[in-house]
Amino acid sequence: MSYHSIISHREMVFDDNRNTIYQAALKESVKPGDRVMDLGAGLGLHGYMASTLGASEVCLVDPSPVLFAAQKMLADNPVFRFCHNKIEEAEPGGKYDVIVSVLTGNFLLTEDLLPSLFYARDHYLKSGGILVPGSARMLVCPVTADKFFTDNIEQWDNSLYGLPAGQLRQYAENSIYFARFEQADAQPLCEPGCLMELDFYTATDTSCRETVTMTATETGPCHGVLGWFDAKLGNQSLSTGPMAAPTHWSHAFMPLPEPVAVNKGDTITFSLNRPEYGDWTWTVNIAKRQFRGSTFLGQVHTIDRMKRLGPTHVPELGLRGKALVYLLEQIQAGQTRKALTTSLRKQHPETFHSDAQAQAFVADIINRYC
Amino acid sequence: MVNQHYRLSPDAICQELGGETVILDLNSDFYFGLDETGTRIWQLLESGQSSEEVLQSMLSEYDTTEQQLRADLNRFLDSLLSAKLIEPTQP
Repeated sequence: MSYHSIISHREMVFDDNRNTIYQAALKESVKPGDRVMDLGAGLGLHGYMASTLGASEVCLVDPSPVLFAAQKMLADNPVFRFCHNKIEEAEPGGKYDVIVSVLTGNFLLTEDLLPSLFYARDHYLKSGGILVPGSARMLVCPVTADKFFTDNIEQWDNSLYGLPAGQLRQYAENSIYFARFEQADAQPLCEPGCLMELDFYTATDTSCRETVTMTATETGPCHGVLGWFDAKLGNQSLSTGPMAAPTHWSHAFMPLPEPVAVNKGDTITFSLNRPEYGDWTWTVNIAKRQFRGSTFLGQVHTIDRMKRLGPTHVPELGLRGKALVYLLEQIQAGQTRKALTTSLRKQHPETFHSDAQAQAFVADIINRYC
Repeated sequence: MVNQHYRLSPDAICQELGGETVILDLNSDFYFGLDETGTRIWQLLESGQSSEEVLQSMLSEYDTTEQQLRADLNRFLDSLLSAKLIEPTQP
């Protein structure tokens, strides 16, 4: 997900359910005179809340350009400092009493943001300091989701003007669907099961190789397993589940390849294998059958791409890579933007077929690295 | 080469496309790629053929000598074994 536009922050910043809980948690955590870091600050709302509670210094850390929008709103207030960088490359200076963050992705682990929180904790949290949130759990529940399954999986069985799209159904069966489900859309067949709990004060690893066993409390067809997270923020609890008040977070629907009849009292086992930054693989044992889905099988792979992922792969620069190296050298030599564009076009005509293309490339690289 | 049956790792997830196979090993979280020949061997192992049977099948399908194929097959099976993508089993 890109967080580079103000509009992309709308859903998050106007998420009243989330904001209310964060505000209550900050009231418990922030004492007058505290130094507070708002990690992944975005528009700076939580840092601002901390300032109203008496924080003497609030450092907003975010690599996205939206931090400049926060700076525009808060620049007159000397309490605020702005680190426009990833925390791993930022220099926020010293240790903090409280680190507040919203680095919990959908179903907790998507976007792999938590390693940045752990980095901040290890480098910038005072001994005895407070993390908001301080822990989170991944929860799962087998569900009946008839309409969603029909619309997203079975739809592939339909002929597309004669095109045999049914051959592609396997990709749909092996994808995770991030969407917001109301209870009516995804009726639970069990009490939710806790798959994994992460204590943010001590955790170092966000990979998941966990199994949970649940007992069906309802009879009905199971179309897949819904996943979400809840979090503890001091004494406050935030749930992003379908039974809780809606938040901006989506639920993760991991489908079965076909609906499976479940009877009240049946045992359902769900396992998830998800290395950091890796593919999601889920295994469901249900009605004496085993089903496995994996985002690895939800994508079209080529052997060439696999080789690129291998640890012994020796990459070679392509045309754009060579152009980038040339451009960076010219930037370091102190060329003007116009000269950069002209020389880039001249030196790499096979890559840039017009001035406009070269201009756009130069602009992008300058924005990224200069 | 000792005649041996192999079992494909239940933790290896495979996708075949255009005669090539890509594999995700859930134990190591490593990705592997098999070219067309490797894919054919993988399929024959999956169908329950022993190493000697795979050799004979490949000899009937590919224009090569038994000596060359035996050496290539040995090397390939060794690499699958060391990656724990297969394990020896009883027929």
